[in-house]
Amino acid sequence: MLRSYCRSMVCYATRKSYGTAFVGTQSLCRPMGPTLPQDQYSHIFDSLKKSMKKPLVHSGNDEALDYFSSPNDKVFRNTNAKELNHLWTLLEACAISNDFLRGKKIMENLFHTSNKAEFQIAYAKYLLSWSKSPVSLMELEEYVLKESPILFPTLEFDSKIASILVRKCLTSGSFDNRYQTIITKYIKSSSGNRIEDLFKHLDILGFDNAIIILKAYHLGRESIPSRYRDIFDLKDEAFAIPSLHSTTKESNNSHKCIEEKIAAPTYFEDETQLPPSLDKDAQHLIGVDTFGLKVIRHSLLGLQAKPTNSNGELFSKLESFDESYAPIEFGDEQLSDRTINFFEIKKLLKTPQQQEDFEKFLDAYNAERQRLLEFQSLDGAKRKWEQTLEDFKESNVVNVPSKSIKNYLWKWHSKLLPLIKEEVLKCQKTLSIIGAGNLNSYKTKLSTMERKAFNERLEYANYLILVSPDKMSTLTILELLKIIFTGKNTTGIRTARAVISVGKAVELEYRSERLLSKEIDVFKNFRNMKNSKEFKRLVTTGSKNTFTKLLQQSRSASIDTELEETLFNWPNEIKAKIGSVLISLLLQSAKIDVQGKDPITNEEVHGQVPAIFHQYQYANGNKIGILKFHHDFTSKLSKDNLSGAVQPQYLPMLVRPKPWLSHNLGGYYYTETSLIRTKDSPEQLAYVKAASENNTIDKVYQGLTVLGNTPWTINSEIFNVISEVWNSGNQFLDIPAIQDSPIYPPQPPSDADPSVIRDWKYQVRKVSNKFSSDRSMRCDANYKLETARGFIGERIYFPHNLDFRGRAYPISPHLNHLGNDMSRGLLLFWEGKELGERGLRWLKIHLANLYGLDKETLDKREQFTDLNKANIIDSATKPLAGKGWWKSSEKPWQTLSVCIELAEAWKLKNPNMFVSHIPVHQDGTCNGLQHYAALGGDVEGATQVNLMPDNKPNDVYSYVAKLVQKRVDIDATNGHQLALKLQRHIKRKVVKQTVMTSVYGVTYIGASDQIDRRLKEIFGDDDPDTHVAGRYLALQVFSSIRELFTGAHQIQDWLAEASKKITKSIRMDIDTSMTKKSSKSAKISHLASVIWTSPLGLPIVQPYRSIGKKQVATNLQTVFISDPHAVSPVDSRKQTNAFPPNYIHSLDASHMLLSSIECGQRRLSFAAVHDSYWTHAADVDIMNEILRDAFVKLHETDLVQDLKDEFDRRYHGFLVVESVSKKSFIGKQIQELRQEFSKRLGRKITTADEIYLEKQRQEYLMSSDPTTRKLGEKMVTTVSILENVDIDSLKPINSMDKFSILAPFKLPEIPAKGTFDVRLVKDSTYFFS
Amino acid sequence: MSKWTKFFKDQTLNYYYGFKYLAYSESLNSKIIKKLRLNETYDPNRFYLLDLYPTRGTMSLSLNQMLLPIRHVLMDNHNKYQDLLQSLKEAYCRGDSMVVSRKDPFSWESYLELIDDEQVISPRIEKESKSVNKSLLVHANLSNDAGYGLLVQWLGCCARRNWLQKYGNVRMLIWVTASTASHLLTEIGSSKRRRNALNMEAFTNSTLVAISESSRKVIGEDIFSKYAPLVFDDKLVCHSVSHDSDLALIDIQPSNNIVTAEQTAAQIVDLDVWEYVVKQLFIQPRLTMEYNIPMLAAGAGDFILPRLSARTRNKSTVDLTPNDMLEIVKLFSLWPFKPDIKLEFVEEEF
Repeated sequence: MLRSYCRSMVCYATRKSYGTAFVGTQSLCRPMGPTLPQDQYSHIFDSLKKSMKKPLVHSGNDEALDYFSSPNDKVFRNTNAKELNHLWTLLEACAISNDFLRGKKIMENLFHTSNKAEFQIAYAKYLLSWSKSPVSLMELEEYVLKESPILFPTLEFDSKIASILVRKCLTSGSFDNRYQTIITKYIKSSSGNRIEDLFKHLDILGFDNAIIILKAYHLGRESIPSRYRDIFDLKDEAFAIPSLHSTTKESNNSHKCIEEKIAAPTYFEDETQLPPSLDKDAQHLIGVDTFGLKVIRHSLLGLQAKPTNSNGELFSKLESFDESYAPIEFGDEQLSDRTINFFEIKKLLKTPQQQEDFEKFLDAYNAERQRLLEFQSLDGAKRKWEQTLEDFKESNVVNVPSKSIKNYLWKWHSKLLPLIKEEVLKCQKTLSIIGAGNLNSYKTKLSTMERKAFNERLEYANYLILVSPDKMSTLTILELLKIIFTGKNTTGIRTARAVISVGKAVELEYRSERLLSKEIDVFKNFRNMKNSKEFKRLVTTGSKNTFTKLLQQSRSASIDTELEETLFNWPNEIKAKIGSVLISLLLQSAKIDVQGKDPITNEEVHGQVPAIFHQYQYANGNKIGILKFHHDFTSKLSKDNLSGAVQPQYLPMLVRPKPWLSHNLGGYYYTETSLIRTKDSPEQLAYVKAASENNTIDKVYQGLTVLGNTPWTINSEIFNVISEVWNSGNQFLDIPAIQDSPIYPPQPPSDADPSVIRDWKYQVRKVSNKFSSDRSMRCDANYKLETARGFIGERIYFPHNLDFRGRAYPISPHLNHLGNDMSRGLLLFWEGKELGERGLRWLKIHLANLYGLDKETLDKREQFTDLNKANIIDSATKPLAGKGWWKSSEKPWQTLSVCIELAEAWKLKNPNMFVSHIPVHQDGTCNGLQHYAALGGDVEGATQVNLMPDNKPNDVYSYVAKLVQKRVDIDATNGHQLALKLQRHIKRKVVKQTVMTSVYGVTYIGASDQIDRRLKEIFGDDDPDTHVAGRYLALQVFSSIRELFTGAHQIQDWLAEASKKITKSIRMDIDTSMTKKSSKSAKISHLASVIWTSPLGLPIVQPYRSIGKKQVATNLQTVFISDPHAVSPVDSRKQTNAFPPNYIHSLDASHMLLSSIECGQRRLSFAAVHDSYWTHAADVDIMNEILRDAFVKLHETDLVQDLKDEFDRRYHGFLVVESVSKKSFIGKQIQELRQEFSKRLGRKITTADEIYLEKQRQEYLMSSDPTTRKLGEKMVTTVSILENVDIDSLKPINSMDKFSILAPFKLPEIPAKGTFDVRLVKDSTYFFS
Repeated sequence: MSKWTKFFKDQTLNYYYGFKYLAYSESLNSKIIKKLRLNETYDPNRFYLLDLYPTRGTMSLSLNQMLLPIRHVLMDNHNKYQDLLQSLKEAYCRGDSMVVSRKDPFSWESYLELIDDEQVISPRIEKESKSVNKSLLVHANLSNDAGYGLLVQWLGCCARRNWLQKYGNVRMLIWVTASTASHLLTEIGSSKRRRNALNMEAFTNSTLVAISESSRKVIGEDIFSKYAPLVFDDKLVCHSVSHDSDLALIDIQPSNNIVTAEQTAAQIVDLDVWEYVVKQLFIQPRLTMEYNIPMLAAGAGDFILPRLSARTRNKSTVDLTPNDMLEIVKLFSLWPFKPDIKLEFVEEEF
């Protein structure tokens, strides 16, 4: 680590010298005084002759800031991000491991790499940890008040730092009023500082200390932030001591969670036993009882509706809603086993008041359960190893057969643990050597090998000591098991992935502990307050509910702060190193018993071999390192049903998700979730963060919050049907049958004909693939069902976040409404709404849609349902024993779900009175094309995608098929052989996929393959012509779409052209040294991504760049990991191909969120799967109006013009490499100019020189000094002469005539729009239907 | 100008399908055939000549003329070459000794159809014999991109004794690019040695017969001096503009199959194991057995290393002779806990 410390010192020194160079360069740019040299520009050329460094934007902290794609956006990129990331996490690690001396040194470096706000956070974090150590108040004060202002001149003495010092004063037993001196100092340090600011940090200050301050300064309740105010509201409502006792008892328990081991539930001890399933009156599931499932169930136990108090308070509360819950004189245990189906209770409630009361009751009741659930989920890994650890111990005591998995794991663990302990000791020793400061003398004593190991350890020592060896051991074992069973491979994993995953798991463990310890701080706070004299004197009576609520509030507040202040996670190389150390130790310890036959004597032999070993393999021509599990072990795992270990994190929520308020606060309460799902793109995060801070994405937050606020529940009737099918183990619809192991065909003899061997291999591969995919499908279904079962009868919510284009997704991965038909069938809206006449019609239409009749008129769809009444009732009443009409549906599970509701409704005298919970879908017809048609204003296109009102739904695929037919017919009459062959086969199905994907930029080859596949279905696999025919038809389809969507296609072309220009552009503020270097190879780094703002204000940054991979040497092998902080050039091809579809996605996402906001305001239950919007049957008409209005509102503005304006602003001042004809007048002029400049420079002019010259000119032009401006106006550069020149008219004739020039960034004009009036959408029945 | 020189000159051809071939040169062809001493093995009218991807048939013609096979099958599925071969056959017209087949030489089925179904050729089965099969000679041009892969598969057939090698030690004269030749003939100890060179050595007696001038640089001095091939002018190499003029002819004679020999002796070594061990060891070709063998399979090092001769243990993979490899393969086969490698080919994508 010290190495990196030294490195940063070096960097710092170098940066300083950059600074000087910068000042020098800067002076050249300064407005020229009256003493201009003879040649007004010669100084520019002089400076060009010297080497230059990039001028950097300097902040107060001397931090080197740069920009991402464009300087015009003012979204900063810290060029030291990588180092900062390293230092930041290292500082955190030092603070936790009480290495304060080293922490101090790191902070000095951090000061030079971070910006002011970041440093302020880091400083306070460090100080807080230090203050909690036995450091004396004097030493602390000395550091903060005397040393720091000199070391860190820009550091502010802020309220947080003051709070830390005040707390130290008050807790260190200094009874004089020293703390008041600090408060005074704080108030004086800045004019805006007020004593009340300290109370913002109650989690630091402590409630007891706050009371002292309140008292000493005679402050009232209004001084306390509102979220804490009630607790200090001593006049209106005080606390009952007994209630406080009960809560602090709980806090003590939580504390124990960390310090002691929770007794392991028995189901983790016994492999054959599953965790008790929650008895929800639902059938228990037999089947893939995997270990992962145990963990899911274990987490779901957090859901168990336990009577919170032994007096059965819950039940008496429930009794007020449902008499059957009347308290019975049972023992506690029996009470806790009672089934509570909240959904059933809810359905019984008659009056709105009752309903409201019940919802409120659930809110309060579930808040605590949510915390349990999230904590049990969040630390799923922790829970897992903790329980398993006990389990290991248990299995050693109990005489488990030596080959049992548990026994192995225990043996590995017991061998691994001492090795890790030894490693940790070595790390500690390494750190103490650094601490002692005799690093170099120590190193000289080491042998080469030892020195290598020592240097290696320097990098990770600080991190490895953060989590206990015990935990790391179990975590390593379980993490590897998890990866191997959740991945698609069952025999091995890439070493690179394994080391990062284990490293990540260690970090996650460390962060979970941090959150838990934060919570404990809050509990301690309460405990301290409880003990304070002032408190005791004042407290008389009070309400427990208020207290619990307050406790929850302050808990979540402190966790929010912790989450918000986690600016950086451990760098990838640290994760890789930690993972690799742990895994390589595991490889030494993990052995399994094997038996075999001696091939000569034929005797049975027993022995031990490593369970996991490291091997290399070739994959796509690259040599990759693999960690392979021994076959005997993996086969045992699947036999023992331990496979499929999956993290139970991110389950559906029991309470309304935290509303989205900032880029990393929203959704779950105790787990960090990011607004945008992104991978290795700090640029995206920076843009979203900036937008969030500027409050421009409030609507996005609003829309997402509405999606998260929709309550759901599990459809227990569907669940019961599925579990019956499931438990039979047979194949049913999409669910594959259970199979123990694949059955391979017999191997042919070694000298069989190669074709026989090849066919055998093909068969084996097929069997093997089918086996793996069936197994993973069954596992996947099992997770969904298990999750569903845990939530039967519950009110659940799905927090949502976005992909980078703004499309919303539920965060909980296993069971959600985005899932397959089965998942969707399992979900119902929690709220019910009476159908009414229109609702009943929509429910019927919905059924027909699900069945596959979505191309008929609405009336016909309704008729279809009515005609099938008998089938529907049969399906509903006898889903498995009956005729099974529902099974032939396109979406059978959802169909069954509607059948059940309809059958119930028909039982009523007036079916309109039925209270429905089914989400009814309204789907856009080829939504991407709908947006395109609206953008392009294509009348015929708009008609075909149902933007235009019509009395029947139009089908764009059939229409395109007809257009293709026309073209093929013409060719056929001209004797075109292929056309003749295809003439009678141009069906909707043949063109459908290509039409659909044309919006998403399908290529000619891609489209040909799609059509080829369809043609093979018609002509057979062996037909020799389908390939060529695919190509022929692809062209016809493309031309037909163009014909239909002329305007839209011109827009699509414009979008592609624009992104090409952007991604081929050069920034003028670019590091000139970089350009110079690359200009030798005639390559210039293009650094600008395509960035735009969605109509809802969300900045969208395309992440496609050539990924910078970094080689990291680890104990196991060298791994290549991506380096997100590296400046890497954009991948122009990917950016260009992806932009038109991504732009359309950003529009459909905006449309959805706009509709979502409105539905939220109109109090509709709303859900969406991209372009499929869901609400209650009764509300479909309202939703339809809302979504049409939203579409019109979206497209009423000229979106493409806005986009162009935005691009013009963002990429203003950029240069683009263009080709012109050498012989053109401008070509000749530029050649001459370059010659002239080269002469002046005494060398050949480079692209970088040209950029520099143009940059100088621009700076002169922008000067406030008129003389300088004039200088700029007169200055001629290779770029300036292109002003007002139409480059398009100067295109080269051929490649010989091609001449590259730098031209100012200029986008082509937007193509003219067609005449379609988007407002007509409001009257279109089939727009979404 | 001879009749045939004129014949080939008259037919202009712009299609190469990625192949390169020797222009027609009577003298060079006869030099090559003499160097190969083919007439010592193949008696006129007593053997079949299977010519795979004969391209324009420039060499085929000479082989036919000088060796006089009972039947000479020219198999190619490329249209333009097909047409040219057809015209060659018509111009040459030595009874029905020449057969032009449209079958795809890449496909195993082509041979089954040709020999079993259509019985166009009927070579003798001489599986037991250790010498070269006198009833069948293969001449092929594998200088295209897919050629190297196909040749490696044919090499596998030499080891397994299937495909044409089921007739026993069928000699193959194969035109390849210089890089393919150097891959297959790289000497022990060279850092470039890979598993195919070792297999070539283990299953065949192979020599480098002739090369174009520019191939010499690619092949390297070691191989060149070992085999002393005929060197011909680059100008004689016909190829498309996107290709270089490197071309080499190798003579492959399957004979000393060390694995099969061992198989009959001890019944414990099989080709699957051989293939597996060789493949794995060559992933890290420069590591010594000390480090490489433990990566064969979980626990392999514990069993094999103590039993391995010190000489072999300290060798790196590139230094292994076929016999050294056999020593390792035998030990691996003797290891009671060896993994089941039969299904190793079901490779997963990582």
